[in-house]
Amino acid sequence: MKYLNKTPIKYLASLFAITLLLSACSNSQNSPIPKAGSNTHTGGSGSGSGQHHGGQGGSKGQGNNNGYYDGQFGKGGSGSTGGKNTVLLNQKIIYFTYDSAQISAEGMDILAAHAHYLSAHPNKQVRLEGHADERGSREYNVALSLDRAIAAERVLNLKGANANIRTIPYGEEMPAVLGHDESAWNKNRRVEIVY
Amino acid sequence: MKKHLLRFILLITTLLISSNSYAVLEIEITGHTNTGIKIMIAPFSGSKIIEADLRRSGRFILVDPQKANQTLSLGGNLQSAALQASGAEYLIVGQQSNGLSIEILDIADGHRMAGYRIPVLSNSRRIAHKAADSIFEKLTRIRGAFDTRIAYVTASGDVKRPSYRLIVADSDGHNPKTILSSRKPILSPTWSPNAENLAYVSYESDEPAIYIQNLRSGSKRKISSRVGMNNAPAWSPDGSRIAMSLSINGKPNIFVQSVNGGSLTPITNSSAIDTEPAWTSDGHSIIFTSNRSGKPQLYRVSASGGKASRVTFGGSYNSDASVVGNKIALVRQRGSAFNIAIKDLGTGDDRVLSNGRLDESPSLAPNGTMVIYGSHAQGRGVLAVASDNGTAKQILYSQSGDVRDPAWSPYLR
Repeated sequence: MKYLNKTPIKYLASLFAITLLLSACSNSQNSPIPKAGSNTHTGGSGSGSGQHHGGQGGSKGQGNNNGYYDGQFGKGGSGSTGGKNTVLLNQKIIYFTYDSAQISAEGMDILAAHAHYLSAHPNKQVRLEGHADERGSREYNVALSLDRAIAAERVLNLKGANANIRTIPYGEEMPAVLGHDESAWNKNRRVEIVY
Repeated sequence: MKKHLLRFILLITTLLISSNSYAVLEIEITGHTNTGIKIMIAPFSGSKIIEADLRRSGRFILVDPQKANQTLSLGGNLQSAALQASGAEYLIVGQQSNGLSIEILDIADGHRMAGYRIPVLSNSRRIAHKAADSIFEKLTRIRGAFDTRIAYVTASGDVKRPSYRLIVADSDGHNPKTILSSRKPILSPTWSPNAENLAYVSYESDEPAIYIQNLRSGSKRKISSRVGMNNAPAWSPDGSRIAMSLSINGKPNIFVQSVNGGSLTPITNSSAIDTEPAWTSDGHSIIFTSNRSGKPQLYRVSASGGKASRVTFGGSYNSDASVVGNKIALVRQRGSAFNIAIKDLGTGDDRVLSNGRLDESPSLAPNGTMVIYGSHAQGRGVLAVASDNGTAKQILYSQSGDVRDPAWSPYLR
């Protein structure tokens, strides 16, 4: 069973900074912040330098807001862009609003980063695992989660991913977070990028 | 909510091997009717099962046989004055002896309305369910559906890595038997019209596929494992075909496939989500969920395909039809809650039957008088059974995990 993928702690701070930045530009419902607590056991020794690195990534993201959103990252190949790309590559989950398969702006950025990586690594097998929150009917949610996975697949292909991609719809069967409230639902409406 | 509960909890202690104990369901009656046919059932072996059946139909008021102030036996003398004073309209007397014999007596004039003899069956509870079916049909003129079964899914064990089980039980939750165990999700069980097979979706091969499993032999075969989605199987009333939702063109659409694995017929061709097909009883049409208008609503299409017409208009979310005759049970969003409603296409009656937050997966009994659905209670998934008139309700729950995705069987042969 796949739940929230583990993110190395050294990227947590940068993830957090960028997520905050993105949240400022969109509905907070669309931008669940991954819980740091679930990742604490993934690598304690690196956490000191990781915090530092993350802080840098975050501040650069802030300083280059427009570039971030117009899809310019990954083209320049400068040090700072590479850093952001790495940060985005470590985001393996994109989130959705209720009963929607529309990819958010941050989802676009995450998928573009993965597409860029995959275009350079053409033999990767990619699974896009779609999920829905528990509201509404069970089988409709499977179809909705397929729509989400296919929307993500389309973006990966449009952005140049050259990979064998499979879409797997799980509906509401495998929640990332247990619970029956808005905060749990926000984290469960998602596509996980697995490769 | 709690104070409305009748203190009527039955712990099921049917013959279960210990490894099957997770499958035990407890039953809680949460609603009862104060209108209906007043009936007294004399005590005999199996009479409590008959009482419980009639009670959950929402059409009977059970009168305590103590109120008759006499011994009530099959063939015995009855004092009609005391019986009439009890308020009951009908009396059931019975006796088990190499099967069950029962009689229905009209208390007003004491005449014997009907008598039935039910032979011995290996599942002894079925004898009482058959008796309840006979009584129900005689007094309501509707065929009884107590001697039927339910299929449902449980998820138990480690919440992060649950064990899924597909279980078949009697319609009142007794005699549960696991027919499939898996570490991967199982969903959408659907019965063959002869009640001998189930089709369902299982992720056991890592990706969703539709299987058919024979309940007697346990043997199963995969009938659809196409790329993307294999979703929402529904068996045609003639038993020859299965409707399902597939993503062959990248969008979930309804297809019909022959049970023997032959040809695949496209039924819908929309760029929206089309899923949750349900056959009408005559097999001529399929009612399905589509969000082609923006939000999920029910539509109807010929079982050979063509143009679909919209069935539901009220509300922002109507989905997951279960169809018996003119009745459609469905999921409806009301405010932030999802509830079960029954819409009658014949009379136009439209009634919400449930009041949970997250009710789903309605499945009508084959006579349309009751609906079983998935609900939540105390933070876990439970099954609920409601009478179609909304008066009687009971909850079936497991101490060891979630119970969900119920499917009521057709009539047993």
